[in-house]
Amino acid sequence: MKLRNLICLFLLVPAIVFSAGTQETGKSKEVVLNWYSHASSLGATEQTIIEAFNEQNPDITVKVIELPEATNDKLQALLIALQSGDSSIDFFNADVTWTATFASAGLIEQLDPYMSASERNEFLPGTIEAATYQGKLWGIPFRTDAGVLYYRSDLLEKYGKPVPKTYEELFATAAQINNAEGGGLYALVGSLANGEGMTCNAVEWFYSNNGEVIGSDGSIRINSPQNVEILSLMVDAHKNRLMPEGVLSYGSGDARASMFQGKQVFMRAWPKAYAMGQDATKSQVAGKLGVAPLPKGPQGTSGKSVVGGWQLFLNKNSKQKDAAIKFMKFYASEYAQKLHALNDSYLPARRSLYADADILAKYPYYSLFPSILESAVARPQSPYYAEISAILSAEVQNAMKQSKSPSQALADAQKAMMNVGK
Amino acid sequence: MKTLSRKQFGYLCITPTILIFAVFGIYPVLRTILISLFRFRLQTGPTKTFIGLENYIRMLSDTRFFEALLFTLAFTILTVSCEVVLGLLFAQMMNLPIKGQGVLRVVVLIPWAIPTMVSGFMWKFMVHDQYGVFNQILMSVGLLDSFIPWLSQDGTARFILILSDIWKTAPYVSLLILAGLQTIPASLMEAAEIDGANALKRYFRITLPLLKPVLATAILFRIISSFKVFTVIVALTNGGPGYATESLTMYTMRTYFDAGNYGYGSALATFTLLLTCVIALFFTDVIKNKIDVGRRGTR
Repeated sequence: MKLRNLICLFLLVPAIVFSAGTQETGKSKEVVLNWYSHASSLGATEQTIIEAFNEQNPDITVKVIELPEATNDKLQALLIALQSGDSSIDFFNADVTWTATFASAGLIEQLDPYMSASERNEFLPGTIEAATYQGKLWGIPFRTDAGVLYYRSDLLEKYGKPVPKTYEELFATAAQINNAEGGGLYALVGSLANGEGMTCNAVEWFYSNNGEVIGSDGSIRINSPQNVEILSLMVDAHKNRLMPEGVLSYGSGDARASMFQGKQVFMRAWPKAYAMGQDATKSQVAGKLGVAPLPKGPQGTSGKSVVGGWQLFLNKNSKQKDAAIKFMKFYASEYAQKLHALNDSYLPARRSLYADADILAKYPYYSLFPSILESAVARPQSPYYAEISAILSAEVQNAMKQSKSPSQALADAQKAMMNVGK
Repeated sequence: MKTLSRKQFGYLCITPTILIFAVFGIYPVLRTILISLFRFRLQTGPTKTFIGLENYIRMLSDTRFFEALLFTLAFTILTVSCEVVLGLLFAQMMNLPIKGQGVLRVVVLIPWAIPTMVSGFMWKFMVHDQYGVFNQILMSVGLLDSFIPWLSQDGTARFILILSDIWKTAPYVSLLILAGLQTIPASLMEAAEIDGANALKRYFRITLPLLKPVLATAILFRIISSFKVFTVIVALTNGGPGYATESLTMYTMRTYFDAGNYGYGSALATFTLLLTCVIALFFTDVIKNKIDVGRRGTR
């Protein structure tokens, strides 16, 4: 065989293969935006919103590219793409905890020039706070979330108990009801498996007792008497079987299962559990669920919920920033957020929608959220959030499973957190 | 233009493979080793600062690293030894000339055919503290007084991880050993039988020595993949409670990808690579020797 023929063959095959991909380009002046979004079965709402946007902006096409299901996989996929300078991603859905990481790494565009103060005021303060890092705005929130307390309204009514305002009251109430019901009931459950669920619960415990994790000046403040106090309270509750024995391996699904099987008096969960809990095919406590703000600790002023939710970030390397901003704002508009609330029970990030008649008719308990969300806390704002959260989760678990005392666990967490980033 | 010789044509044919291996195999490894000598983090932007062996020195005082290393070593030793013993047993059973041999071979392989993530969730369901069948069985036979939260305690969580890995992978080992068993000539056994060797003697004097090359290969495969254990932990405990079930690979992944600490994460990865290489080198030596022994035996 001739060498030249072979070389030709080697060159020709890739040329044919790769040329197939380049034929689409070169139409008119139409702008094509790539939006990296959730991989959800509820994608229909996104499509409706895109169609509505296209009616006003026929020259802009928005393509939805789905991201992996798990939040951590999303983060990794985006970080790898953005760090390599990929400009094909124009904007993307981002978790509230990502702000500091992406902003400090210089991967996303600062949004202050695009969002006036009055525009920002239309959003709940917690959502803007979560999109802010070092005094600058980096994201447009379109969905928020906050931990809430679920309770068995039938049991509280039967025994004439009010919805507890403090954790001590909560455990006492549940213990009394459990005795009266002849046992078999746990007081509290949450997603305390190692990971982000554990972090969210622990942050709520600390802040509900006037404690902190990272102060506003950036100093580590996890080892405080307030935090030790509330953690000891939870360790005792776990030890005394006021929480399910296996709660340290419970994800949010396991926690809901325990509640929906009627084995709990109280549960800490996200608002989306409500719709599931009222579905009689999935829950034995349908019609017996109440939702309330989280209780506070012995030294707390009020119960604090952790802010969850999603926002849109703009890729620094996007070549179509103005068009992207146009769509991002549209996706965070009242129209779009209302659609998501009605279709997918997303909590809106806009204040006005909590007074919306259609939404309140469908979800009456949404009226609770303005006050819960006004006082909600963001998770620790740090570029090293992933490490801070891992330490927090593991050390709180060390205390909960009683391999360390609460004060030892928090002292170790303090030490480990102070070493992060060094 | 000259025509290619046979040898030249052969080289040309393997060029794509070598190129692919260099790009996707050798280059990433070398780059990881190189990065492990730098201070390089996602949060501090693209600048890399050369710090020599500082990342490796940091490992020496990192208790989380040592916990992960110890757990990984214990996990590897326990799973691989149990899997080999069970594998020998299963293989012997599958090799019996009984009715339904084909069905038996398929059934034994089912655990291995299930994706790790799925079998992990199955186990999580089975050992659940409220409705797990594991607790119910143990209680009904009187081994337990009350349900155990298997995945919420250090010892039991580690035990369940090891058990589920053995359940899943012993069939794979037994398949490898079965292949080895079938290469042992029946004439050898018959001769030994005529010479008056009993079944036990035949097994330890003939079968096992002839299985050694296969066994060594199986053990090497298992040690390497057991040492990199990750998926089953994600499905069952996610490293918890605390850091009790965090493996070396999991700690490396979390450091590199989740925390964005590329320098230190690379150092951890390099350490894992070196340790795996040492184990592999030791075994290639064993495999080579045993194959010689095996040949002498069958000759």
